[in-house]
Amino acid sequence: MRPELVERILEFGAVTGSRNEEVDAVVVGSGCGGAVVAKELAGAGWSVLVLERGGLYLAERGDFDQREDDMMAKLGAGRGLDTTVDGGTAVLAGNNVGGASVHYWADSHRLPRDRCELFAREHGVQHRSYDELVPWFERIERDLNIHEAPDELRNRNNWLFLEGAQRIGLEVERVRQARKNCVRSGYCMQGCAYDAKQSQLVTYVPEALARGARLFADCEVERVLVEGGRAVGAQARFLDRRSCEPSGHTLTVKAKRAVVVAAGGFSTAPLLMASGIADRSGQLGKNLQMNPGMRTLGIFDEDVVQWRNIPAAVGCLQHRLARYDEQGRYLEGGFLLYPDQLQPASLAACLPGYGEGHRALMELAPKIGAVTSWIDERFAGTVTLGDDGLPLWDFPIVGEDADKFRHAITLHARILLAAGAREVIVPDRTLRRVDGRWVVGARIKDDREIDAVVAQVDLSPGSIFYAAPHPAGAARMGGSPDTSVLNSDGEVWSTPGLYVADPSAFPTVVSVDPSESIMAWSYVTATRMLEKRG
Amino acid sequence: MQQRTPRSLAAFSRRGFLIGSASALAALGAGVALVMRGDPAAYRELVRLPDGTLPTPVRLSIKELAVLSALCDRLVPAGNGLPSAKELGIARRVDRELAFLRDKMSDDVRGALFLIEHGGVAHGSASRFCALDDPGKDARLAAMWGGGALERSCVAGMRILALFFTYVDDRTWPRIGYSGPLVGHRSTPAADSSVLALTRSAG
Repeated sequence: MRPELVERILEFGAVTGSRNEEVDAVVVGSGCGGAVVAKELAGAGWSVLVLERGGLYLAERGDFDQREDDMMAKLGAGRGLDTTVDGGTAVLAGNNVGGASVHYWADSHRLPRDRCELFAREHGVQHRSYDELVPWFERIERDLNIHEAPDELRNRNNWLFLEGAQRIGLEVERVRQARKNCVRSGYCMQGCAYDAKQSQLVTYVPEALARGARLFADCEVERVLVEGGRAVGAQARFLDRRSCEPSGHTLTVKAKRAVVVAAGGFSTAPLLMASGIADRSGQLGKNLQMNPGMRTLGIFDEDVVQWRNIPAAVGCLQHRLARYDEQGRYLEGGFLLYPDQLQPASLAACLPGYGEGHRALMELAPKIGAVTSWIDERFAGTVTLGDDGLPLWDFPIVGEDADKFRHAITLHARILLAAGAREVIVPDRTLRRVDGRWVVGARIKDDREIDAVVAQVDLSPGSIFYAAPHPAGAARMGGSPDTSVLNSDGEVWSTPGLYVADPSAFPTVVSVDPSESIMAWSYVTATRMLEKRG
Repeated sequence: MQQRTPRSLAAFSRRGFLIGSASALAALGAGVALVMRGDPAAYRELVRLPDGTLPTPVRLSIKELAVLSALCDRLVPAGNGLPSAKELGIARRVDRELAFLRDKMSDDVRGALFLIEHGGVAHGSASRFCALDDPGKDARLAAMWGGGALERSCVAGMRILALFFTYVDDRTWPRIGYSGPLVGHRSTPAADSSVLALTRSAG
């Protein structure tokens, strides 16, 4: 980031006292939603202040050291250790300037037309049809250099996925990537040390700053300020990045035109709740979906080294939509199939079991390939505030959503075996003593074993470790204040001047990586805001 | 043909991980804890550092740190060139990390450690986890891992912490064929629970 732009960012070390600010708009969060809105409002001449709870980390300062512990603590909300209340699903959210886009895989999909139609038909969402979004998609794709991944971005795990999937008759396509001059290090989830991944940190955040916006990092918004039923600002506190504790300095922001909450799909609804925002629909905090995902592992006789090069240059999208029979019973699908990528310590956490059996697997780590799926879930959970005022995410994997995992695991196993894996491992709680050795996870060595093994896989929390990177729905948009939290402008029905610009607004998960969808919807929200309040 | 998971069964298994442990632990009863409280001196010996000093835990008690240390030794057992959890300082690393997390996480970890140390009664054993030999510890863990949702969730939560903080330690990398980061520097951590920080605090 250019030095003159960095100077527009206030970090914890430079905060010497409490402050008051008055601006046209305050934007809470600097990820795919907040950065777009800040850029557009600043470009229209509004004075804009972005407040980001996490820190500022820059490649040119050497902040991205590619160590999993350092980077997870820097980039992850809850230092990467937050989970749902049952401990079964990791809650993956960004906590840094640039938000979750700094740790995402850079996979870039347009919001599918069928999902746009669903949102309009069943939820009454307006102004966001696929055709209305196309100009924004095209702009995002130009700005972020989104393009199909070329062959050189395929690591061995990608090639094995491609070969295995094609051998069993699946259609594999190139996954579009937001990258420029990628060096294929493999540390996408640790934050790109080369500024090659086109995250918000290197695209729309600097653009917003160049247009005059300011940004306070290490600044946690505690509540939205409301007067006379209208949003008028935000109350925040500065954090000391070295201790994760409040520094003792506070911030009060008066926003003359708009308060935009873009704190992310896991955090926006809790912030609105903590602020006492009225919600006639009763939907605030409900409908929380999160694309829970898991991986199936294959042991190969060759080195796979899944942690180098990019995570997913190819993928299979033909099972994206679930299919049902005439009685509405689930038949198949409802997930994507991707090659997986984990750095070794994260791989250790996602391998099954513990003890000697786990250690034996880790000794084979370079030979482990993996296929992953996030399911496009039907059921939803909730987010509420705990006694400590912090969010509690309660999310079930039940009914047909569990069946989706079984179908996905079946395909994972078939792909891995077809690619030449000598053994497939489903990372559930299976723990057996075989010939004096501990064996962990459910094992499959032959196609004929797949159905029987998958049918017995224990999908319950704690058995398989799920991760949820794509939250949506907890402050959903819709056509009526009786059934939704936001109107089609992105404004909270009950509170004029209060907008939400992040995936909380989606009525459901979007069935693909949501980053491009979040940006496109945020462009629409900014445009509607400017038309109404500009 | 895909097997369906009965919704009621799936919902039944959704007991709180560590967050639900407090009520379950209450069922164990303070009396059990009193009878099985163990020898404080024995717990101290479990965590004593090679130079003979005792570490000063940040969030956990010495007893909790000792249980965590014993647990980590079985979750990630030394061998085949892998250093022991005690050598790697995994328990102390987890304790220090808790200082940077929401208080609920510390409460959850304490609850899990209590259940692991004193939960043998559910499996017909009055022995504390720390008092068992290695095969006994493995058998206890296997029973909990294969037991009810709460027990499994406690082991699962601690398992993730122990494994992650073991394999981020570069002393383990030669054993797993990982050559490490491509950039040649360590950056300034946000809030630091690393081995370096532990070394500094001990010094």
